[in-house]
Amino acid sequence: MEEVVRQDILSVLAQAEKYILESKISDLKELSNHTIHNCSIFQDHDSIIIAVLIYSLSKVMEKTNGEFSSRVLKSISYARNNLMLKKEEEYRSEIQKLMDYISKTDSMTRKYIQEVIQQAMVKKGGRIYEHGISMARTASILGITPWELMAYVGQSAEVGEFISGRTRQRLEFARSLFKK
Amino acid sequence: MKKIFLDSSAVISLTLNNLLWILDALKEHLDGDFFICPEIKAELVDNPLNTKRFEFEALQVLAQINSGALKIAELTPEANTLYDELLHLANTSFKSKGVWINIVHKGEMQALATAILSGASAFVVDERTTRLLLENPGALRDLLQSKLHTRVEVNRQNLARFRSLTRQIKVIRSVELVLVAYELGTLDRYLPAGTPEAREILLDAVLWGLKLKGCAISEDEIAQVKRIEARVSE
Repeated sequence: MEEVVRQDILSVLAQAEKYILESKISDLKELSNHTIHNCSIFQDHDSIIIAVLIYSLSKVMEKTNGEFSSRVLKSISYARNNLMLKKEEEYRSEIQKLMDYISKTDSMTRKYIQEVIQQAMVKKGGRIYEHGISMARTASILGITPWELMAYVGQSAEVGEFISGRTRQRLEFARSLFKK
Repeated sequence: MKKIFLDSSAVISLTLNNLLWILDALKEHLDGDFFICPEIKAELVDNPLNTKRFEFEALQVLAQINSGALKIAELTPEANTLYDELLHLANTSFKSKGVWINIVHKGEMQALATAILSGASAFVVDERTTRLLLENPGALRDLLQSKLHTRVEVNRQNLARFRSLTRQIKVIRSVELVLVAYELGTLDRYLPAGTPEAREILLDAVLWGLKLKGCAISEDEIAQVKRIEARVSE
């Protein structure tokens, strides 16, 4: 794991613990975007899974109880300690257990959780695409289809930024390709 | 014979707006064919057919392939070599935090390679990154830098080679195909009855439909296109 990625994940996990303790769900959702820069540059599984995990937690915690939070906090703390000690395998294993725990929480239907995780992938994909990574590359990084991503990114105002002009010339050229 | 190559993003935009059928209609006005490359077919058809999500959309694309409206370009050894080079060049053109940023994926570059070697008249791509890479890599660097909040180095040699290999490619988007179809009257079946502004309403609807389904067109461009079309109909 790149050192910059490790440091960012440690910071995000520490913040996540704080927000979960304080039940600051919207801050947790915002926090899920903090590793997107690294997701875009390094395109590594660790940055991606943290973005997806934190976003999923923010959605799931809207509908769960204190028991769920304490289990999640315990797991985040354990993962963070391992990452601090650079025990990457133990860290990854704990994060995977946490993802599995979220997926199996019995306070909600499995279908809802799967939907949340899928939505998290697409939303984070939308952010990575906004950062300048192509549609197909982004879909590949997250293991989703370009269909899902395309359907989502159109709703982002930022996709209209940095578009080169040539509107008139492009249309005139397109017209020239076809007979009247 | 003209050859127009489509990237997956353009096919997706058209399909999600129920407008893929216009390729068939446009083909009557095109002395040539529309093409996709094998990797794009895998992204659009083969992979989604293995899932429930977007399975029907995949079938719609497959129907266009089966009808001949959309042809699959052959991936020659030369195209394969060019595709490898384009993928390498594009993904080693921008560096941040000491690593090359993988900005594009194989489907996009395979489509581009087959388009170049087939002497394509146009390359239809809706997604912003590939389009900027082809037309304005400086803006792509600015975009990366602005969004990543960090300095992005450019490998000018690789970028220059990429531009040299792709210099004959002319880029359009699904929106231009739809605008031609609109001007040809292909979309008249959607004109709302009982209003003198039927054509303006239809134009606004298709432009926003495409934008909201991912075609990289800005609000300013939509306004500009509407002004252009208003002058055409005067």
